[in-house]
Amino acid sequence: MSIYSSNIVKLGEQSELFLAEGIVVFFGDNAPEELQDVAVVHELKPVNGDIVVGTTIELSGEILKVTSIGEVANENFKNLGHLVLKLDSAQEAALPGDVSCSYSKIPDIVVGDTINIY
Amino acid sequence: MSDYKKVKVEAGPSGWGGPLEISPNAEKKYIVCITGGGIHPVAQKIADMTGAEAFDGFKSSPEGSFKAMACAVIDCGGTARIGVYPMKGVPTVDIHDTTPAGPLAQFIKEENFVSGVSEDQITEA
Repeated sequence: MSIYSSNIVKLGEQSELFLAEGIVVFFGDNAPEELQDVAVVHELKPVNGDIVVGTTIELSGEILKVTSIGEVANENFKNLGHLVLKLDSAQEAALPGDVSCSYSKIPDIVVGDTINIY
Repeated sequence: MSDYKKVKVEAGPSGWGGPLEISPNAEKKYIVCITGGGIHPVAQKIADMTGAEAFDGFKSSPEGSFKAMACAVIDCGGTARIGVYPMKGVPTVDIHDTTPAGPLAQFIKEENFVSGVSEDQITEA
């Protein structure tokens, strides 16, 4: 079953700063402007269930596999549409909000792309 | 409306930064809460003790934007919000145990950020 499915509606002006470090910061389109500025903004949809180790995140056509997840990441995603993906394949989340993922290629994200989590 | 009080906010046992003195005034009159699920008890306590107004910053932005924020209360997991509000010049209180990280880490100082904060870390200044 799909945990989440949505589309990218905006790339914040400063989202590049994070992307350059292999970090994808998501916020929903209801987030305040200052947070959308640093984020990849998705159309906010309902979240069904928890992201766990092994969950697949399909972003802009690239397949990412969750390798570790911080203790507040699911809570932030459900409450705020906020997700922090770290493309570092870490086996232990460095920070409480991190969702670390393995990847074969860094997604090249443009407006209109989709994110599917399952 | 001029009898705002100050509070001191210290880092929790596993937190970082601070102590911050939150000192609202007629211009900086909002304790802005940017967490899930409305006003967090930490934001409510700071508002109650100072006489400032708790404001749900995720639903809307206060009039005056960052200039009107006496502080921001966040439940940041360590990467994004942790830097955004310090960068905007707003003293920032994180309820989670975080330390400066991410591309905005340069903006996060002991003078503008404190983490691991629960209601117990808020006292009269």
